[in-house]
Amino acid sequence: MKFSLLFPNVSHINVGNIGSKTLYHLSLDKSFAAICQSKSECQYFLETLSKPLRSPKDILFRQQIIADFLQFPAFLGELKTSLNQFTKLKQDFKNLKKEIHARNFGIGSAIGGSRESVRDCSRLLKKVLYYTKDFSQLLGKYPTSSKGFESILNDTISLVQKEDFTRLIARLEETENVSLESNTVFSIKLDKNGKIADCHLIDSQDLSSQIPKEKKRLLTRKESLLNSSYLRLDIPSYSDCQTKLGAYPYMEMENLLLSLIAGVLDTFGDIQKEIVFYSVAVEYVRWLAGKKISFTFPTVGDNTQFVGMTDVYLATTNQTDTIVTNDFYMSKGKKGSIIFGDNGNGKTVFLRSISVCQILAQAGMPIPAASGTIELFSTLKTQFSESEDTTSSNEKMGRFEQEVSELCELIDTSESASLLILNEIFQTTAYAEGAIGLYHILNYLSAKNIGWILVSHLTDLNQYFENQDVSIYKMTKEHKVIQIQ
Amino acid sequence: MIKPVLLSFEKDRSIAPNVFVDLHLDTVFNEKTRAILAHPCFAAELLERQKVFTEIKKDTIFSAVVACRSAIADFAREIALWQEAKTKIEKLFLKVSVMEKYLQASQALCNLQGEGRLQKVAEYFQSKRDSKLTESIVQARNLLNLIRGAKIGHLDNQHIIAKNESEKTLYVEICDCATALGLSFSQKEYSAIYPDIYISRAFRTLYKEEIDKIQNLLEPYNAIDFDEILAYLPELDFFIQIEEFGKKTEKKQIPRCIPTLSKTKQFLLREMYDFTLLHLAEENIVPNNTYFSQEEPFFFLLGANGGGKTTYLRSVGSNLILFLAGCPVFAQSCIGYPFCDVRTHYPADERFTNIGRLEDEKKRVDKMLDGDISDVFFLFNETFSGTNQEKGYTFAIETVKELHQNNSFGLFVTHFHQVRETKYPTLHTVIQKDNHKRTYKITHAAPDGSSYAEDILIKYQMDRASLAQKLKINSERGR
Repeated sequence: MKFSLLFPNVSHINVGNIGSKTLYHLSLDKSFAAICQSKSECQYFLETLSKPLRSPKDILFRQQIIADFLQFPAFLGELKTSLNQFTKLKQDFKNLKKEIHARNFGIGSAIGGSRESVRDCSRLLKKVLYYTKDFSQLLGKYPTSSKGFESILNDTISLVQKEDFTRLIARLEETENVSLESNTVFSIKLDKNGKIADCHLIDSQDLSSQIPKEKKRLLTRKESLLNSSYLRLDIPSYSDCQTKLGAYPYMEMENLLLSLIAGVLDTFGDIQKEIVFYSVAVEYVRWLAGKKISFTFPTVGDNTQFVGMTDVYLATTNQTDTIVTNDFYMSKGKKGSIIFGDNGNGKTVFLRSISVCQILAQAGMPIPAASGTIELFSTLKTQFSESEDTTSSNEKMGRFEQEVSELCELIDTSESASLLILNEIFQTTAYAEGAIGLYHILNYLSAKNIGWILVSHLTDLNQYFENQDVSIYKMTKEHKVIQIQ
Repeated sequence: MIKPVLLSFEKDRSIAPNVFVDLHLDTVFNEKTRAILAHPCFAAELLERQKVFTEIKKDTIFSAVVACRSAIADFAREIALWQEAKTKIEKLFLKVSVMEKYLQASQALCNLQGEGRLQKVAEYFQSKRDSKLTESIVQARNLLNLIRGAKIGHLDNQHIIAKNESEKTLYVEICDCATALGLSFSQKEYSAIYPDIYISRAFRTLYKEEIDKIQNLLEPYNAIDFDEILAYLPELDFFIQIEEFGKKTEKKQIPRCIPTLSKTKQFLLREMYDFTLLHLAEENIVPNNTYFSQEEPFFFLLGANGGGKTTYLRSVGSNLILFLAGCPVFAQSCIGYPFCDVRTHYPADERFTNIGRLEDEKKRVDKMLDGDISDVFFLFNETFSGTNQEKGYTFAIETVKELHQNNSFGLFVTHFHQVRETKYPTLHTVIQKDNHKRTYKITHAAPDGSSYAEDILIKYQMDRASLAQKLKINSERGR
């Protein structure tokens, strides 16, 4: 059992990857820096975006949780507070382990050290168990409808409502009573070779309370009593056996309790980090609403379609009423899409909008569009025309060679059902040569079932792809896109 | 009924330890196996061992042998623990374990399958089965299980110990709760504590009744001779190690065969392999033939450096030692005479304190030729190369003359090409004429120095081995 707010099943995480420069190319880092509360929040959020989900079920899982938080804003606040307490418990556990290690250094200190440690571990485990109970109650407070919260609630209820839960707390109260002053009783068992294995604490009560009165008197005499259930045991204090018998029951209990604490804390997985994703998601939705930008939770289908898309980055820098929305459609049967247009008409903005919508959708986020359907891609990578790289390894390469080298790497590392976003590449050479070279590469991508969207000035591609299964768009000077094929 | 053995050997017949080092057998077989290989067998023992190897080639029989070995090894380990036990309570527990292992080992010996000695051993132990012993040990174990444990606490600054009637401990209760709740946890295992004499004494007092009963049950069997079973351990180890090595070589397509015993002196192998090269992860081991017969008992081996002379020498020696120990050899076929010894002479490190290299070599050769050498097989590797050509050749010929007079068998690797002018037969390495590439093939040349047609056949892959290989490939393709 392991809770997660990002994945329905943490043991089967099915995510793709986004190229290392993609978030930068699409200015997603800048866009969300303006929305997030802190740098660390932004970093975590972008890391999550860089692992696109590949299953419709996983996308729906996150969409539902976001919807719950949007419906119950106070819930997010309370949950964050509770998870802060959880973070503190984790820190307490870390500190306790350090202290125990220091106490147990050397067998000589083990007896005293371990009794104290057993007590401290019992207390912390109790705290962690009570936290679980409180967490369960918090989840039950709000009538959420997402499968994510439903599953965590059911798991926590089934844990805290069991009789064994109460029994465990009661036992921990006993072990908590172990102290340096009182005596304890422990059991020993012989293994098949006659050695002592299994040395356990029985309880913290004095054995003397279990011995009948008449036996006690006899036991204080010098000779041990034969044919009796109770004997005096004369072990010299320097005996190695006595030292180990004194230490082992406590060390064993201490290890058990530490592993239980770790186990319970581990059940919570990383939800105290995962909540950051939703915190940003809610903030992002508020920001969209504030800017009066339409947004929607897209559905997953065979084709990609966005209606009334807004570019998020542009919205962080411009007035919304000046931003032109656009539509985009790419059917599964099409090899790819090319976008032409004059400079300044908004080709890159259009390309960016499509890519950002795709990435946000595959992160389970709402997209800045009136409606949307997406086809799922296993990876999404971008290549944007860049300045010349004069690092030592690329020094001898010209720009065109760098582009070719980069594209080659992108293709080699892209599996089937990937999407490549290409912005004005192969324009660093004679256009005619660049066009024909790119034409063949794009056909190769299609043959490998890798989708592509290209923004280009290489108009020769228009005639190469004429009457083929490629969508061709043109940006007008009004920043509107029209489909010409 | 006399206890049968799986192998017996003549301690009088002994191969010197340096032979195993020279032939790289120390890299293949462990010390215990080499200790048995070091005693060549007479014909009767050789045949018996071959029968065992024939049987254990079958998987079910081999599995039973391995299981038997495992059971006896467990038995030996338990005896060692029992002998090391420091307190009486440990000794008692371990004695019961020892008897249980004894029964298991006996049963495993009863379960041996196959014919020959394997069958005899199985029958012997089947005849010794004692159901009363089995019953007694079971009862003893049941009584031991009643000695559950104790609880230790304090009374007026004294330790008090009492019987523990399966009381649930806090530890066990917490584990049970955690399991019921589906919580994950780990249970660290501490090594068992040796009970001191006080704990031992306390247990013997608390559980006196049970302990007395156990001792009464075990007493009639105190005189059992455990060595009767333990003696099979080195014997089984020997057969298992040889067979396991054989199975590994089979995966590399290296053939194995049970040699045929010959009454006349000869050692003829077809497609013989130097199996010691496997330890160097060598993939392409080239097979060769041997030609040792009454007519030609002794050969000189000449040829280019790196052509495979030492490898050939080693193949002959190592396969011979296996044959003499009754083991399968690594060849397509083998006919051999049971020589009584194998002696090698390899160049040694120059660490002679008072004498020079040549003197040391002569001394070693003299020692090798000492006594009755008619049934000894000699292997010389560049002996007398530590002097000038003239002297070295003279000493080499004198040595071989003496061997010839005694009708000894052997092989002499040398660079003294003058030997081609003598009456002694020679073998040669085969080099490809056009590019001087080594083929690692050894061919039998006529005393006049001219090669047989065979090396030409090898170059064009028309020799017997190459043709056989081609047939194999074709038939595999045909399948």
